[in-house]
Amino acid sequence: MDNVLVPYLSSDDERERQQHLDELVILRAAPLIRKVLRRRFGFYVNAQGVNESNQDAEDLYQEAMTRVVQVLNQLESSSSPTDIENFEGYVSRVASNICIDFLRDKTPARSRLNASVRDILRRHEDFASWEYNDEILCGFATWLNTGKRSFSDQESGDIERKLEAFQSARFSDEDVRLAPLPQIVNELFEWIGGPIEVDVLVRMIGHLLRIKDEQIELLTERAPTRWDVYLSVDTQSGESHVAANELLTRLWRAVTQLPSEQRDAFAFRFEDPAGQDLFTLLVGTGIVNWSDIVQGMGRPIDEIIRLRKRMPMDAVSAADELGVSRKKAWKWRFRALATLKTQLDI
Amino acid sequence: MEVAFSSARHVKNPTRHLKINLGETGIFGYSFRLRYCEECKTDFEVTHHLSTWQLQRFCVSALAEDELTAAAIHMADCEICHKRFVTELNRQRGSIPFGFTLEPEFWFRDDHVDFDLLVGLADETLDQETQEIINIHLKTCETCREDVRSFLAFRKATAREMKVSYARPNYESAGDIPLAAPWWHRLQKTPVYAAATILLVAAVLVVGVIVLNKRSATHEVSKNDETNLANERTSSPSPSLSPDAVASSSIVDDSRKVAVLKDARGEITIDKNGRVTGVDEVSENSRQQIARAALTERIEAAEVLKSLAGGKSGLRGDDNPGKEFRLLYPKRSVVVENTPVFKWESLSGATAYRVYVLDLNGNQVTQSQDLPSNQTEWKTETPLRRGQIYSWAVTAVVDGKEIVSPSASAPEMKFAVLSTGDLQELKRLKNINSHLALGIFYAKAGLLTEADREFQKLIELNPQSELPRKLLQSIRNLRNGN
Repeated sequence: MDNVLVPYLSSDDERERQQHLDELVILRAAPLIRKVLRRRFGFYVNAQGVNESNQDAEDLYQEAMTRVVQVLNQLESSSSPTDIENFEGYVSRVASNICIDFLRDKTPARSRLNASVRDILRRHEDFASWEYNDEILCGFATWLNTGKRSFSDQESGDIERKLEAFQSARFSDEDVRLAPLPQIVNELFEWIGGPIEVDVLVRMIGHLLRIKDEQIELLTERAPTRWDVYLSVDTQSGESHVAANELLTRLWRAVTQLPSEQRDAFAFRFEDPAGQDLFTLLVGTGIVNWSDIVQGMGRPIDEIIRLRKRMPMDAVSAADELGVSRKKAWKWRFRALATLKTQLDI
Repeated sequence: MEVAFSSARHVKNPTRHLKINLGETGIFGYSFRLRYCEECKTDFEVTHHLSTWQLQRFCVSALAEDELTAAAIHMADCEICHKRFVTELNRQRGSIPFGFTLEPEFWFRDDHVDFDLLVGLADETLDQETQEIINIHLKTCETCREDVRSFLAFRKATAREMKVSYARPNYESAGDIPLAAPWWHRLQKTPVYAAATILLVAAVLVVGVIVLNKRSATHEVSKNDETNLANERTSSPSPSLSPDAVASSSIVDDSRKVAVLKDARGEITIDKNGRVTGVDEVSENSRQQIARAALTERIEAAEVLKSLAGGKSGLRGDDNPGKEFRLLYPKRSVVVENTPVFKWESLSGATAYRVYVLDLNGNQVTQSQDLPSNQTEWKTETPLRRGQIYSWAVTAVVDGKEIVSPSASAPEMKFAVLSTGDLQELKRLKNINSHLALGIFYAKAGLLTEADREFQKLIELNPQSELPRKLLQSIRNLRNGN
């Protein structure tokens, strides 16, 4: 059993055990789950597991946390507990496996189909997509701005069964997979006879075309991501702690000299090998204190703390925080990187 | 323990002297106290050292925001707590070294190419910097690389498909477009032809205005019909009109039936509300047309045929007395093939023929080579665009002179190519094997000969029924121009 679990499992006092459970979940599991979501799947949530622009990330975080708590409760109550040799590795695996189930629905081939269908709806003059009651609907251009049919409210299994009938009626003498996509879209619209959600249309076409993605490889417990390798390039791991601190000090100085929008765009996205944000890293290494951060970022302390809870941010959150489009935020970050690389000569 | 009192710091303005309200809010619990600034509306001052529990949670931001703020303010001034924080953070961090990278590949690793960017790439509307950033991301993201490749390939592959019309065929109205005839000019080598041409153009303009007026009236009627039908459907939704209700399509009240017909595929029923059962696979549009034909017991002329009709010109005359020949096919009709075979009568004394096909703007779309005198049909190799109306003409060379048919004063010989949407519907209906559905489809698409054939078959299957006979009669009236 991993030593970090021993105080929790061996405690006789209920209050004390609850405290140990909190520590395991809040201090160990939560940061790790955040890191797994970021590194392996590019999903960002703040310290409370929130990302208003990415509901999927929030759901995955919550699900992983719930799973970890369940396992810890089972460990505590079971007479012959499962042996967890490495708690952090176990948490990583739990988070990774949850994401794999999720990704099965968001696999590349489906995502490509989604882009193709949306492109057809956008470009073909006979088709259209529009927002109606907070849903993105699509159909013939003549149906524009009308509500959807009840068709898409059916269970997906029912829709799939009906699609078999559709296929035999409309594509009995030809392979639907060889038919041009606009033709399939047209046939489906005619068959349904009214607007449907774009997502449902994509799912139906995916079913008709039998689009399946390759099995996603299970991630090993402690397999390093390629980004860990990337991070090791500049981390100067072979050098002394003093040298690393020296580099961080120069980085901070250069960051504070950037134009404010570039400085923010860089800081919001910064992530170190441990998954820590820029502010925590700088204060944690003792290079600066919180007053220095306030001064360097030109923001009050409560603002700094609010930002730190969200950092590292994903592209959408960063753009949202900066109040600009994603593309604009990209450019600021891109320019910041170019300047910093030149100034730090790395 | 009320020790290590930190200096008062205003959160919004650290240098400002504060008016302190001493309502101590114990939001951190029993070992921790704050003071509250009324002006800032926030807790700003921590009056105790941070506990280990607080420090641990501060490291992972697992405290409420105001608590985190208060702790940070405290640490900014309290060297002891700052050092404890550094120690705790290092403990949590373990052996992971401090460091960072500035490699753009790392920094843009999660900036995937979304739909808007895919479109921007395909349309080449992205600026250089964005393009550069995308290229950086693509270096490391195999999925996005494939997404881009796949999207661009898709764009290329569907370039032609995007021009295919899937809506109801939208035949361009002959009356809407001024006629011009480049090939015509080539034939106008004599003053007589030139004069005839001027008169013809004037006549066509007059006819055009008349047709236009008629068409807008027809359009209104047609629109009203559709509205009525839609109203009928709204008030009494048809169970067979959509895939939602396929299962209940057989529930039709006998007393409401208008017609029950035997068809090649089985029995078809139409009730008073326009519900059609027995042909569930046909499109909504086809079902509407079947219902309308059954309820009215007649078939209206296809819109396209009106556009193909030759206006009777007062200029009709004999431009080439004794030297006339007729165009046989296509003759003011719709053709299924987009590479139709053109047929004409032979002309005595002709040594060669040449066929011209033009669009409604008078632009030449294709023409044949000089064809030998014994050849009176020609198949175009250039596919004609579906859903469009064309005109065609043949010149015959007699004694070195060109004789054209139709003659200068005669109306153009127009034809339409079946639209892609209709072609697909036709393929589907052929699979469904319903003479009724096919007959009505042919009629509505302007293929009257084919419609005639289907209704004859329907009559054979339903010798006692009046409806197929009336529908056939309706078709024959249309063929006869009534």
